[in-house]
Amino acid sequence: MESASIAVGHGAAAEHHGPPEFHRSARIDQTVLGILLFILSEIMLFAAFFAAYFFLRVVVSPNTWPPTGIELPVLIAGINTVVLVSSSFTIHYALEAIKHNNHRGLKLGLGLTWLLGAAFLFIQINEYVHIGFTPRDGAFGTIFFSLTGLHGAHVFIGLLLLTFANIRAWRGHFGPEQKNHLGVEVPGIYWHFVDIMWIVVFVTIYII
Amino acid sequence: MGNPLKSEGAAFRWLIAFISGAVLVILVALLMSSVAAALLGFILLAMVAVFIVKGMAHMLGSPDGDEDPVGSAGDGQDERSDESPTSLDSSGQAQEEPSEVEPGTLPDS
Repeated sequence: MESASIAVGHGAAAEHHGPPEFHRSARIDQTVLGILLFILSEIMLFAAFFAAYFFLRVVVSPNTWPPTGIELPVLIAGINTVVLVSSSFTIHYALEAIKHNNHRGLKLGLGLTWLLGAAFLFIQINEYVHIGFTPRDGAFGTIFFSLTGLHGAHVFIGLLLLTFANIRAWRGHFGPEQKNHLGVEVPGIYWHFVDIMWIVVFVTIYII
Repeated sequence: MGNPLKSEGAAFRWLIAFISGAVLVILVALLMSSVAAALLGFILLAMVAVFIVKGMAHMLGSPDGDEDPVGSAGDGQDERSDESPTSLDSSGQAQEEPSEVEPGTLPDS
């Protein structure tokens, strides 16, 4: 308290040398800490599913993976990967556009990102319908639908965030200053994370 | 590459790095074998994990990293030696360190 009062006594411009405010850290910004903990928890969630996948593949059935009669649609998944990765480029374009006060580019980029994300989900659901096995068909089916479904749920959440960002963009809520386009930047960070996770999922399940 | 938690641009650069790594792993899987590709993938992910842990350690800092160690104040008052078993109580008065055996009691055998 004493050091805090001293800091106040030197004026607002003086550096604060006392302890941080209640429920605040002196070492890390609270918003960055929140995103950090969220991303770490997501990484651990996916890691748990990957651990299950590799346990089943390496320990349980090392010789028959995927099980006989099951063929994954690698080409369709590859096209879906291109679609999702493209959406990261469009959201990056949207953010660069608003940084240069280009509202038309922002709306175009966000709209394209939403469409590409929705196309990804549509293609994935279509893949589920025609893939020829279900989550009940053994461990492979279970882990396949779990991993890809977990990722699909994240894409769905990202689409919700993008929906809000699109609405706000059309209402003119965003501006070139950083504090005025956080509503695009934070969904952008999340969207890139979802993309990175899909790359790992795609390479693990469909390629290796 | 920057902190991907603070900037979308940094997260985008991380994405590009992951795409490059994935292309490498896919090429190895197609040209060599799945096992080699899996090993390469694990190595790349381990490198990323080390990078992330180091970055987090830098961002969060050590709990005692920026605190003055005991006795480094420069005025000599905090310096303690083993020869003088005294300490300061809350009012600043010197006190004797409690001995292992209280006076009038017998030590446990």
